Amino acid sequence: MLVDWFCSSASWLHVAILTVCLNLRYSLYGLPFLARWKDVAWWKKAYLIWTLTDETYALEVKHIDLEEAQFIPYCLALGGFDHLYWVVGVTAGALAGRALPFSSEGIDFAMSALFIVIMVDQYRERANRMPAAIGAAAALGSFLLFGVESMLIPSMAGMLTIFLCLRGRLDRSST
Amino acid sequence: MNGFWNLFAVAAAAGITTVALRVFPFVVLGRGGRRPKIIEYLGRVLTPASILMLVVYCLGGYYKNGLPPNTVRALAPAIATVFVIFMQWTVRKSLLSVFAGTIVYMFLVQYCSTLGY
Repeated sequence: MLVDWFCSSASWLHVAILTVCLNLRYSLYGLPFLARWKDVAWWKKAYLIWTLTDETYALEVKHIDLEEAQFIPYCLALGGFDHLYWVVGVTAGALAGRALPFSSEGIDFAMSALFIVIMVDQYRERANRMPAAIGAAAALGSFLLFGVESMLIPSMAGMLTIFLCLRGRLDRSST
Repeated sequence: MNGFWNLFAVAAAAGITTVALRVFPFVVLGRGGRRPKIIEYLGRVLTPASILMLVVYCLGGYYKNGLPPNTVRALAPAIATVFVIFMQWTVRKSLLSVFAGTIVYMFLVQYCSTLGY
């Protein structure tokens, strides 16, 4: 996703605001571990928080009932390995990208495909459908009004407004 | 702002914001451990909504100069999107759906679009 921002010469403010909206979930990921990681040394805790990505979170939350003596090393190791996979994957991608023997035109669709896959998976859960529809409506509206380059901030402002106005209805229906 | 510094600013903005969001609950809620209801609600609804926004954003990028004159090129994103949805809905293998969808798209724009429609 960053690649797209690099190419589209978005301003850093755009990117910061978009990152907040996209990654707001990271703020929620910390919540289950607040109590569990309370007594961990600060530098270990910093690393645990640093590596708390989607996949790390999913696997750590799964084993949150482990004893303290097992849980902390488990989280540290998991975070470390995920970190390693990222670094290795990115390096390999950068090296392989240069040596590719065929035209890579259209490979950018991989990113669209990834979001479509996540969209389909989320659609299976009924509680996600209304928020997703609101997001799509806000995004489509601002795409048509403002064009693709400047659609992100108006569409986020739009969906935030709708979500705050409809909180009474949506909050009840999804809990 | 030109090339390098813009790149630097974008990377720094994304990186710092992401880490700040991860640290945020530990700093703010470190003691009490009570989470504000509205944050929880927004986190829940914004995730599916922002994915839809990204889908629109990505697909919209293919049409930012209007419809491409080449029919295959104009239809390729739509065809590949339908294909990915179908794959993920039936087979449910995320990596396979992404991979196959990308291959279909690349095949369409690189080969089929040269057939002259």
